[in-house]
Amino acid sequence: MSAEKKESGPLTPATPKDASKSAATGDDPLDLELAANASRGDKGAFERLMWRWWDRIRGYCAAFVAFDPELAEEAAQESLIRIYKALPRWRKESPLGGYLYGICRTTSADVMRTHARHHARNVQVEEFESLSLESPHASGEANVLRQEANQLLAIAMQKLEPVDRSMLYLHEVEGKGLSELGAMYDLPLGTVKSRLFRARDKLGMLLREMGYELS
Amino acid sequence: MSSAEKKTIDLKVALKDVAMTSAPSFPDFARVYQEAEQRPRKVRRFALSAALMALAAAASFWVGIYWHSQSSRDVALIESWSSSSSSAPSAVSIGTSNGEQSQVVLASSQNTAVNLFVQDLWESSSSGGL
Repeated sequence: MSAEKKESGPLTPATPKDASKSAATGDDPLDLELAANASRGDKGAFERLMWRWWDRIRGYCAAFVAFDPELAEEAAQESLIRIYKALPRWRKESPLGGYLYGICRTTSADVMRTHARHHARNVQVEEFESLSLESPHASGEANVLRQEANQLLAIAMQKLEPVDRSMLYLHEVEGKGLSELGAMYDLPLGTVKSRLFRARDKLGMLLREMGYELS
Repeated sequence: MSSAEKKTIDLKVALKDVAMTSAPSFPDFARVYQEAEQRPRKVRRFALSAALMALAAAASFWVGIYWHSQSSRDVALIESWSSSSSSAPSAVSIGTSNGEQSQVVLASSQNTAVNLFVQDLWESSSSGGL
């Protein structure tokens, strides 16, 4: 925690207008209050907001950069810096979630561009097979199997486009609907639907080659 | 589990699991504030150095213009002087070749002061001419 951390004063009480706004944008009223206070320079409110959003931010950044731990850390941390600097410019009528994810997306893309060698990395199907063969199936331990499945899923996800990866993550893990994703990525509903379908289809195909099925 | 049996992956659970494993656990707020404060300073420093460079370029341009005009300034002085003088030089001619001052001939048969001034200029010139 920063030594310069400003004391977080009492939050501005939510007004009926805020409540209707949060209902319209789908944002949590508390998040809106925290964001409003953080945009006025309240570091305590910023930290509380980021703690509430931390899992979503880090998960999204990790998915975008294909679960590379080094890139994920850089993207998540850089996203925080950009969010801190950009919050005063946040238009209160726009969805907070879309705004934060938008910053994370741009930041992750920049981080990937900077580390282009990571992005260019390709894993061949033969490598999937070797990974499957080397995995300790015989141990029968659920934890080991889960780790193996996760490892293979991460490798398969690397074969998807970053936007498709992040979109799939938001849809599957965060439960974002097609219209929300369309607004977030500025894409028509049909395009979002087809991209998600293709991403999931490709992922399923890659995993099938490794002996796994998507549930 | 038999080798023929397909293993299944719950995409939602597995994606979250992988993401949380590869992502950093804690945000570093101290670094956030430090970077946020440093970046405008970097931008300001860059803007300042750019402004200084522009100023230096403009200054060197005007110095160059001034320097370039020095060769003709003396002639212009003599011309203005001769026009205001009661006893003007009998002849003032300036010859040029290909846009360059290759030859300058100034002479006065009646005004000693003009002749002396021209002589001084001639002697002070490093190139042996005006």
